[in-house]
Amino acid sequence: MKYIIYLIVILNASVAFAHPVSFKDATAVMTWNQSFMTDNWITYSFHPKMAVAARTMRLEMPEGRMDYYAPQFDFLVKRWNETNSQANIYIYGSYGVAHFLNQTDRASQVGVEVDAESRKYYISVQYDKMWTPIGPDMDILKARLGIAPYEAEFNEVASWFMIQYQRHPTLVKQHVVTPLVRIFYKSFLFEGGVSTDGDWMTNFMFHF
Amino acid sequence: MKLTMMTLILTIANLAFAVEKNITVSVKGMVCAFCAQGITKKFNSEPAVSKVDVSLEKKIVKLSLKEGQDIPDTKIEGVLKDSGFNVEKISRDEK
Repeated sequence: MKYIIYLIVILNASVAFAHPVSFKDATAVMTWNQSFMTDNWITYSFHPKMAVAARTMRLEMPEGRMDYYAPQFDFLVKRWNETNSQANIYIYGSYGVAHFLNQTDRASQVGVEVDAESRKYYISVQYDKMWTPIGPDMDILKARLGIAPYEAEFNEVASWFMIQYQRHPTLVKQHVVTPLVRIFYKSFLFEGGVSTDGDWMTNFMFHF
Repeated sequence: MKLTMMTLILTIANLAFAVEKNITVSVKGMVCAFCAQGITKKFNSEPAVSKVDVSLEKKIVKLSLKEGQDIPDTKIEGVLKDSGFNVEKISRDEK
């Protein structure tokens, strides 16, 4: 367990609010929305440890907007199921197409997500690296710490207070800190927050 | 009349021997209701299961089975594994 914490500290991390692999046969829809970035995933978990996804991203850079479209593969490397907690390491990769400054070319991306949670506390780090011949190499890091004001039962509305840090040197906003609220009920999840410099963030997810 | 009586006796006898089972499964890693929704979805699709109750507080999944039906431990473990969790203990009670 301590190695996970080390990893979280060491890793410098896109949809860091949900697991890239869900329960077997689940389909999940995730949308991440900020002024300088959107990140949308539709995943199908065909195995408890593997999922295929379709992903689209919008990234606002000083030079202009980049769009990315790709099929993606997600893999649960390791899960620790403990009595009062769970921790996970996921990796994923995609190969698709980017559009930037009136040019369209191939692009690829890899990512890792590490998370640990109990009913009271949550921590996650996600790191994405992206390459395309028509634009700069991109690093996107997201890290989160969360606390639940109460320990919600299975059929209750759950809420979390979180603080999120993002670092993406090639985007118009390089460092963003966002306090946010996460609310979920059954299979529907919503997150909303405003960054310290006034940027709204709204994320949705549901699975079926 | 004789046939009706026989049918009635057999039906009553059948009801007397029919038992309802409850299975309580202790589950490891079940800390998030959003992530555990797969458990109810999976077990509700099992023909033997009539009701599924999940308690994050007690860390258990309680299965009520239909009369005269059963579900093997291996199946329960498989469903929970597919949902992303580990079984710690399975206990059965009949009523």
